[in-house]
Amino acid sequence: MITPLLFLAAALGAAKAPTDNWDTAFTFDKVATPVGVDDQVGGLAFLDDGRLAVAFHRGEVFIRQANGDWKQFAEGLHEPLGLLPDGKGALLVMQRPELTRLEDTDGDGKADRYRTVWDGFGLSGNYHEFAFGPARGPDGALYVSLNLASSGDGVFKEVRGAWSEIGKANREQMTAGKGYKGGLAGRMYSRVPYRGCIVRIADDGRGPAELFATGFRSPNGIGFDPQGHLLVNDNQGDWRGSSPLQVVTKGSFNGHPASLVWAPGWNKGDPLALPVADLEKLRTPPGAVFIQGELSNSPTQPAVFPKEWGSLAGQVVFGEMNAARLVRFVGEEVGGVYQGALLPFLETKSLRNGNHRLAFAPDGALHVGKTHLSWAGSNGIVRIEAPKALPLLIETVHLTKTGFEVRFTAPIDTESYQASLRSFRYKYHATYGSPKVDEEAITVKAHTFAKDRRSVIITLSEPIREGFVHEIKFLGLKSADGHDLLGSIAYYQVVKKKE
Amino acid sequence: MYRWLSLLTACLGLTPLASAQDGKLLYEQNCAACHLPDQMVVGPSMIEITKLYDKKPKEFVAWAVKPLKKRAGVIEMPSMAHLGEANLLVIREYMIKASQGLKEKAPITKDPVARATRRPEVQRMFLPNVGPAAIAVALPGDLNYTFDAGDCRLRTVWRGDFIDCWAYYKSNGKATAAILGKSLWSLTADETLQTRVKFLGYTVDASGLPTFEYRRDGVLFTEKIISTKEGLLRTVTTDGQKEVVLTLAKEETASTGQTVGNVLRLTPAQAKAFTLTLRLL
Repeated sequence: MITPLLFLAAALGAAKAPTDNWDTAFTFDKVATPVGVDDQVGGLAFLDDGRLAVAFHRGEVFIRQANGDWKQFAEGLHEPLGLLPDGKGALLVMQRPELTRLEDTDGDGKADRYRTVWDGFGLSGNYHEFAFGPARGPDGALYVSLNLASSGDGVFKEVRGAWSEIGKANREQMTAGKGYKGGLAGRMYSRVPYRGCIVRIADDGRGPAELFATGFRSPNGIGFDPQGHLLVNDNQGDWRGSSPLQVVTKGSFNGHPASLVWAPGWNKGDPLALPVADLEKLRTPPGAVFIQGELSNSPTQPAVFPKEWGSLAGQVVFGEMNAARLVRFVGEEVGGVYQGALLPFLETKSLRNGNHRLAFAPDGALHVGKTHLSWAGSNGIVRIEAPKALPLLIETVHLTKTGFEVRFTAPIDTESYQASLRSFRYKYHATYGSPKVDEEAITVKAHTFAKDRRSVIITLSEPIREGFVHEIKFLGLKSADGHDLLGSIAYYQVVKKKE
Repeated sequence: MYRWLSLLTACLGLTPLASAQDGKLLYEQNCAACHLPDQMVVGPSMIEITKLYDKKPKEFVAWAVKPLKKRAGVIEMPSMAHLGEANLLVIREYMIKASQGLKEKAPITKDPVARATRRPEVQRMFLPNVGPAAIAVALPGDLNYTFDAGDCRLRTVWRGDFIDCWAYYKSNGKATAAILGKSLWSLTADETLQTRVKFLGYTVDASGLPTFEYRRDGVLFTEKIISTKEGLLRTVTTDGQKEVVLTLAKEETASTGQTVGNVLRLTPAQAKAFTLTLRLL
């Protein structure tokens, strides 16, 4: 709860009314979208020549020309949810039924070939089987992520792909219109190939395709950071106490059991019937957690800050559907595990909700495409210019043997410094979501400022807890030149302690 | 070099206490994305909810902890059990206060960007009587068909208007689109075909008409479908590598090859280019 802390801070006389906010530090402009188009954005990318390409909810792809006019490039796609330029005149697009390469072979500015790159996955007809990506890996392969089906509905009479009999409900019970009782097959289910999996398609999509990782529920954010980590987030729900950020490695199981049936050599029957302790042993825990309500309820696409963003360059930023906010990730390797902190970013009503697809323009301006798909969200595109100078932000958070080192984007006024820390975690269970559990306030032994006042080392009085989110909150902190800290909280997920 | 600054570090250990201010914050963090004050969007408005649970705080909490699906075409709310009873009650208090004096706005019931069909037009969509990877095509004139990318077959034909996808769009894909017009022809499902075919995509000509490409039993096919006075004309090419055997519909005739009963046999040379006429009108 913020209130008692604010009250305490006020009583101590440490907090003055803040004068700086996200709106004073950044500009938020609406980008005009094509007229007559349902401007929910499924994919957003800048081409090599600097033009903006956008895939919209109802299957159109438009490219904004140098003069600002939108020209239709393609149409008729089924729920495109990812867009990736693929050389001159070509775009890769992930739509419900397949990964498609849109090619303009005659150079008239319109795609004349819709080439199926990969459709070797199943479709049951269940509405929740969205398909995301592709992300291009440093290995030249394409990576896509496939949603599970939802017990909110059954399946079509006719499906694509080999039907899996594993599960409590049979196909007849699950066929739409047969009065399917949601939940019998699991809250989310995977009855056709690779639902809930990450698939790697080698050689820029030429193949072959291979199952890369299992354990996802609704992985609507897939991308690589500059170090080559495959970052995939997921949405709070069953087996997702709060939305996780998974750092995905080949063969890993990332927590949601339904897709385990597709793991090579799987012979343990219905994964939903396995003891939680067994699943816990199998799973790769999240490298960071999007705190429900405070950071993100539905995280989306990652993007990497370009050089125009100063000391944030090379860091990753995610979208968030349910709130007017983005989320930054600062990761590091500790004991062979990639983990880190998530922080609120651009938290202002000017951004609006529904932050779905992110892309940086050649001039560094961040473009955020919105959607809702009848859930929470919005529509349109918002442009945020690269700031001439960064405001006071938390730049990085590093784990130390005894606590954390937090670096800021500018020297801080140490007189205004106040911090409170606590740790908690979420349950790993079949139930939808989780309260914060095992929550404890953390006593700090010392706060030690660097000579340049750009960073502070926080030494804890007690041991760091593995598997816990460590919340570091600053109260009323100002820069040395009197500006307020924006995004004054960091949530560091300690998977591994520093030895 | 770091230097030590002694700082009062309070182990605050305060018990979370819900207040009116928290009600607003909690509402914004957990509810506002789907519940507007005065209009049904993803879920019902604040006005409607507070009316439903007027003097019923227990029922309000019970619903939020274990929501059910109640309304047709509306998604089920996720459980808010993690907030706990005290916080849920504070949220309810806030909702009562915040919705006072507001008037309910009408929900959006019509497609705000409905437009006329362009002919020809291609739209991939969830559609009735086909697999989930179907492609709907509106032809010049008044005929329409679906080609299923799952089994690589022409599957349904109808006459009249094209498709209405609004039910799909407004329900995050839970509803199939409606076929407009009169159904003329359809083939029943045959999932066993999926192992014999590979869909390769389609090209579109200057007018927007698609030509589908697929492999079937190792043979590379292209197929372009146009409308005629009689029905549909399917122009097919293959790579001429193998004999081709097709099952014809009873309304269907071939331009070449040997037809015995409903089985069409084409030599590799005949299979290079042929047409199939589907008489429906």
